[in-house]
Amino acid sequence: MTPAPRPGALAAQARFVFQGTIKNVRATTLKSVPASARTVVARVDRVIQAPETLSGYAGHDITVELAPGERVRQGQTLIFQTTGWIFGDSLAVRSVGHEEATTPKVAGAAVHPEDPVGSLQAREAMTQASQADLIVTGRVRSVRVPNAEAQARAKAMAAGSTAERISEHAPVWHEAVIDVDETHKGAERRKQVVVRFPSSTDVRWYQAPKFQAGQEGVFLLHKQQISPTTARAAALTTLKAPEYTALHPSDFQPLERLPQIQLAADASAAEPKPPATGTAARRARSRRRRRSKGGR
Amino acid sequence: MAARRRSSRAGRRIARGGAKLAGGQVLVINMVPRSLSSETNQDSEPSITVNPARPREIVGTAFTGDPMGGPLAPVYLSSDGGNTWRLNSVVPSRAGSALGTGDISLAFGTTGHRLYGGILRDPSFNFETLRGTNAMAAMQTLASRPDNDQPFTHAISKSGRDRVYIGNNDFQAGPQTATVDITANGRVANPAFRSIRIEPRATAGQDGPQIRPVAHPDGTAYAAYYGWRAQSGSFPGNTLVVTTDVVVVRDDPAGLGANPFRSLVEPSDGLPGRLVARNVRIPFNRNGSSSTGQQRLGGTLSMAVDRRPGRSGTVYLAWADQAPGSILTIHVRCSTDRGVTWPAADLLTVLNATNAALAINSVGAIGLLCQQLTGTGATRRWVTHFRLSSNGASWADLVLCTAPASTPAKTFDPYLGDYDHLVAVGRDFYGIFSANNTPDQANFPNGVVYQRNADFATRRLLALDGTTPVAPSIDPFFFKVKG
Repeated sequence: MTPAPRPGALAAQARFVFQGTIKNVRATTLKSVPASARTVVARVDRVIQAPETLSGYAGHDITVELAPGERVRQGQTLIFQTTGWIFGDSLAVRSVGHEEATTPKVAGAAVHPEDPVGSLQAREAMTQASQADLIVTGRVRSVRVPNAEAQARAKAMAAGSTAERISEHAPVWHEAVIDVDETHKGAERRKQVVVRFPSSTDVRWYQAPKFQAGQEGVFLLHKQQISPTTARAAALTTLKAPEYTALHPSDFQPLERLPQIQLAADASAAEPKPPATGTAARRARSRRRRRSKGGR
Repeated sequence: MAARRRSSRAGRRIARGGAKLAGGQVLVINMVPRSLSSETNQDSEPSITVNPARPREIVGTAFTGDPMGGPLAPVYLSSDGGNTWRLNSVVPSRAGSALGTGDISLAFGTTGHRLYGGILRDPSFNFETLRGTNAMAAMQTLASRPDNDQPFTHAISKSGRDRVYIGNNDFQAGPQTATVDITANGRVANPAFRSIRIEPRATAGQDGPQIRPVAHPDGTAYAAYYGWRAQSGSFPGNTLVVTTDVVVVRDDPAGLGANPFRSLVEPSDGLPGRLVARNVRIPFNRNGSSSTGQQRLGGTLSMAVDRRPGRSGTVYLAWADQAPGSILTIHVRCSTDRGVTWPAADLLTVLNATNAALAINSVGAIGLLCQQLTGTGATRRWVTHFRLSSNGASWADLVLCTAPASTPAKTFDPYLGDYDHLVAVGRDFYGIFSANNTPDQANFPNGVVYQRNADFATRRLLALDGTTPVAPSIDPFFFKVKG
């Protein structure tokens, strides 16, 4: 019997999902990975979901380490959900679970069937949406340095000193003021919301959205993503509720992704909301229609 | 057709400045494995450790995330002396992390195969002390605390014990933040690390992030740090300039006594810590810019002790300051009396350079790895040098890499890293640096081997299919110089 993909945290970690055919059992493609009862060589027939770097593996043989108790046979064509293991001359992954590669299952395995990278990005956006405290569509009206920090810096510089710890990893917080078109998740109904984001391009912060005036889209906002201790270490002031932050690269999304985000937000909310019917949703639908007609 | 060029040619070594790389041979390897031929990450800020008990086992690190975003961050692992590399995820991180880990520095014990380290863990950036039972094993977090920067690990084994030293800039100890965490024996089940505050003087609110410990088998332990004394300009405005002392501290009982690192006293103020250079100025950049070759600058510091028996008094120090006409100037000096006196003149001065890393091999030869910015405007290049001297007086110069400084455009700061790394095991030097990965033989005058697909004829990186072009990025490069 073929075990279904394991639910929960392990399956959620599977970022490389592919349809593959088992070429050899008790075999590997890497010298550094000894063959065992749990290693098989699979030909990747089709990449269903993957980060950009691994999206080109169709047609290549890779090593799959089966989970304890997982069984496969030579010649089977399966959908594998996997996490990384060894990246060497060849690739070795760890199976989180597999299922038969029937046509409906293959079709249903990806958000964007012909775009494994887009499928992964969509999944990550939906994960962020389910964790967000507030989701709004709108437009960045302005970007500014938080007032308290600006005053403290000016005072310190005038005194010939500095008001903050100097670290390469300092976030250098900025605030974006967002004019809200519509709220898609969260109890607050405001015409404007202020989101704090790191303007730093340091390795710690560069992936966080860098908002600019005029930017329009879906904002996935979170309360208190960093501890007060860490906030104190990194900046002049700690965050005060109900200030929001956007730290994950998926915390800003184009309007086109709103329907998927809405679904994820609804699923995560205590009382699911009906599909968005407001301005932003209409705008997103209108854009999709224009695209389907070849317009922009 | 993808071409993987093996072109290590000792006969083409560039040797300038008198000294020869006698009997030497250099091997330069692009460490990104073939299975990741499509990657375009900025794999900067590398460090390396070689297992002294099994020198063919080498671990490298960089800002390289798990390609599949797993819960552990990868290290680069070689089991054949650096000829081939693979990624193995063993460092604590978080599921979905693209970064993998913040600052990371690992070190093998001299014996016993254990791997120790300090990281700034993603996403909290807490300073975590790590231990792995071997290079392949997932590392265990021994301790964790917030408000820290740039852990830098050194380990040495004696009598079946692993002494582990991790320099770190501990903001919780502010304003005297320079700290070395030490355990007398990392092998026990729950080793206790003690945080030694090594800055006795008033600071400008904090010390610099580079705190570099090094130890000799006889128990002598040193550490060097930038003692920040004044600041001007603005960090957020990218105009900050720091006035700093360059300080060396020493402890004769291995940093394990009641009041460690007070063995060296500065005659001018009677305080622990010899002031090797006083009131020098360094830029402390928020961002790199075109004028700095995209690299942010914030000083550089490295120290090495002669580990031969009876030579613990010989210690080399490299630091940088800013002088007119040079973005940063590296100075190398040597003390032969346990850090008590330091000559006023440099043994070696390198203009427009950063990322100094020193090591001393088993016959007392001193190696310096550094990265120098040459040219102006669009012709700027980052030139990575390995300098070698048998006596500190004359230095051979081996150019490992010379590549345009304007491409690829940086993804984040730091472009090349706030440090690179050099170690010596036996007579051999092992180093790691990050650089533009364009497969151009002219960029590697002493040869290079690529694991990832590359076509040197067209100077293009190629994807896994061997035909699709891949954009240049910053990769880690391993090198070995046989002593």
